[in-house]
Amino acid sequence: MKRVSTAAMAVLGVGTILLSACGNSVSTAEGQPVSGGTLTVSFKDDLKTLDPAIGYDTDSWSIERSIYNGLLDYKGFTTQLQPDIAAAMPVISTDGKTYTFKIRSGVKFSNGRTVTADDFKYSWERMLDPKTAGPMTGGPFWGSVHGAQDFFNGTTTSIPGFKVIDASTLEIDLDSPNQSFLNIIAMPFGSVIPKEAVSAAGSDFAHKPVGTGPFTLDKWTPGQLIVLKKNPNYFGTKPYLDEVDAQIGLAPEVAYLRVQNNQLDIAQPDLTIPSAQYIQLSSNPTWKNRILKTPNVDIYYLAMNVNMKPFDNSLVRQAFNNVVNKANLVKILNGRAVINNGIQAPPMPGYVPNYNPLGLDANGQNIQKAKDLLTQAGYNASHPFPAQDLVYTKASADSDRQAASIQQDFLQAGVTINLKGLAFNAFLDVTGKPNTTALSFNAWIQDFPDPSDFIDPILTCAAANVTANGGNVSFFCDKDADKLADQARGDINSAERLKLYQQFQDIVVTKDFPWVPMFSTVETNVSAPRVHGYQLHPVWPFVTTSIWVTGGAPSLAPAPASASASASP
Amino acid sequence: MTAYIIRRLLWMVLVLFGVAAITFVMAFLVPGDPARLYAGTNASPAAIKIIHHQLGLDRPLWTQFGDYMWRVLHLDFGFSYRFQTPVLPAILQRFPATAELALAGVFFELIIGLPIGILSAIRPGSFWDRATMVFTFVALAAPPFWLGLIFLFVFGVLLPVLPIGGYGGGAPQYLLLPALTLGLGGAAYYARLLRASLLDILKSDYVRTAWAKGLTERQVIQKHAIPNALTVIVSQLGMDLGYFLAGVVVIESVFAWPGIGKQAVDAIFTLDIPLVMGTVLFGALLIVTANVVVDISYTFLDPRVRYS
Repeated sequence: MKRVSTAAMAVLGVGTILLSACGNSVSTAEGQPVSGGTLTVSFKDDLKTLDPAIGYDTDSWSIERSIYNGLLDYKGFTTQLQPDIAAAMPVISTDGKTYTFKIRSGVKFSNGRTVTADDFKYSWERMLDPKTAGPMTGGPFWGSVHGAQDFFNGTTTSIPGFKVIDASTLEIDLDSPNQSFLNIIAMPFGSVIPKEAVSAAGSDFAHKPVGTGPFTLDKWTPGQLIVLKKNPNYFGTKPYLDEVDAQIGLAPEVAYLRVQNNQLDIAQPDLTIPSAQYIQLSSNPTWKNRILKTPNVDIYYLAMNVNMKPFDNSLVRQAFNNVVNKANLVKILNGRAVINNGIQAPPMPGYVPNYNPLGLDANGQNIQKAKDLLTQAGYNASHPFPAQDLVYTKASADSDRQAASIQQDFLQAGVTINLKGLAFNAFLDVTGKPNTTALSFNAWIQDFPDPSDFIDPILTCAAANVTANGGNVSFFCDKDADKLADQARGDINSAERLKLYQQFQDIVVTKDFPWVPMFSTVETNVSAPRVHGYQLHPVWPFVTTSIWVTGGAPSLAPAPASASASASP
Repeated sequence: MTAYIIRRLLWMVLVLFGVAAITFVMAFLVPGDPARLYAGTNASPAAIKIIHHQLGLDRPLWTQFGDYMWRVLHLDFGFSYRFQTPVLPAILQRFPATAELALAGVFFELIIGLPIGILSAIRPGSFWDRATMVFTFVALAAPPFWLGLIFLFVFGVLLPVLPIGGYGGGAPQYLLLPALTLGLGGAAYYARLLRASLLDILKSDYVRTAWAKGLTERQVIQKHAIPNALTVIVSQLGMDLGYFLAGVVVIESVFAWPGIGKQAVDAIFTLDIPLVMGTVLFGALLIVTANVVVDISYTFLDPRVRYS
């Protein structure tokens, strides 16, 4: 989904992916589904927004996904796209630049009005409008839509690339082909909303959302409770649950105690189980078998700024690639990770299993080779390698432990590392500016399951050519690799496209060495015994529609809040 | 007295201005870009630039501060970056929960701390005195977050007779543990404070005179010693109440209590500067007000105190 705050953020991992085909996801599904009942979940912090044009975090998406729909969605718990509000997959022109969608008939907003193509044009233009100040304005993902750049610049008031042919037909024109555009449309930013509801809500649509999804927002008491009720107008298969209650503000220690005492169904559904709670649950015979596990689409790596000394020397970068004991980092996460020597996460299309072109050992290191390479680079006893700061985020005890483990590894290679833990905001600030941070401990999590998402925002020249807030924190820029990325972006041949991305990976890992790829994490979560059908989704942080509950509601559940800011469709 | 109150109120304004200025500068000195956090970490530099402009962060610092202070004078604390809602209603919406917890915490401070302090002072060196002093040591040393988790585990999991955290609309069973955790540390402090104060007073001339007059122990303690010893408690109580009302961060976080303290901490981590500023100013207002009220209450508690 985005840059996350180093290793310990693995414990707070967000986007997840499911190897359903490999059967390594565990589901609690058992028995015949029954309708009715209330599911209670918790979130540590209050939700930022329920406006799909604004929300860009897993908490918001967890609830937004129950309220809204877009044209496309992922089929079941896979990464395969299928029509959602669209009547069928789009007709794509031979040049890959025009997409024509037919809208399913009879789809209604929760306010009862039928959805039309105009609603999509309105929703998307609002989402991209600088006045909305959403994260998609200015270009990421949607910048290739014809006329979008002029719209961002304020020279036009509409985007001609979104064409309403008739009430049920929408055409999208791109300036250049983009094979991940269907994944982009399927993101929550592509959700449809009714103009009249936005007007009625004034500036507060974030708290008074109206969509087409299986649930509607019944109540949101900031800092306390969010209540979703089943949407009678929902066009799809009705959810089993009548209601979803999200309790806000429960710290993980408290939330997992509640789950174990039948006072909560699912704690932090969008986040993996924190280490302390994982150890406790996995050593308890009752709960051990209820833990769901599935690979996250993420990569944790050391970024070396190729424009800063001593990392402007590729021999140094290559040496660093032989130092880190990745197996130790996996152990620190209680085994909830796998060693990764590449730039793509294991479940991503195009991922190369057992990728190890540098011939590293089972721990992912080769200390002697590192020493030799540093000697070749001109460092020896009389000219020792200068001590380096490793900048990382102090997200949890795990991140401190992992940073310390890396520090010890480098001592073996004769390199002194000073640990510099920062708050996440400060970390983003210093790593995103050119010539500011030489060595940092980073992570990247998918926005959508397409390899371009692990390259375009973090490893291209365009991403490096910024003055601040960059995602390419090694400021790596290789023109040959860039050409491959450009070619792959528009290549309509899937197999060939994946090969291009694999060639890109080879350049990064075996020629330029801007990263030390280290590991990809495994998502874990658990639910109370009365919860059935709960699964971890490959892309979405939380899916409510597959869940049903049996038995009584959690005991000692909080009484309804006295004051509430209710919002109804 | 009136002149004193007016002077104190003017000082209040000055103090609040100082707090606002310091908080504003500190908020902008913290590394990090609020627009970056608002936009999401994968947003493009172009998007972040646009959001910078929309949030008014591209204006000179002094302009932003001037605008902010002008709006504060009109009771407009601005919009939360994170939630895009007005700050003052967001604070006021959560304040009742904090106030409820603060008052209940103070209640436990008094109901536990005062009897212990009095009983220890009138029987110094006794078993009771030693036992309660051990209690005060432990209660003062125990970190509230640890104590809170222990309470949750004992009363929520082992027994279990109380809910494991949450607000429950402010229902008593939800309030009990956070209020007890909040009050226990203060109770220990009050017990020690009152014990020391009473021991001092019990050696004073007027108490000796009271004994000499043939008054009973109850009369001496109740009518002569305790009222004088309580002035020190009142002073501390006023500070505590102001401090608690400004948000009890740790307790609110451990017990998922939806008060302004937890909101402020979340705002700090997300660089939601308007919400941080608003909460700090609101808290400062409560603390300063509590101070003034305490000072004025002295004149009623101790007739010797006169302000001019």
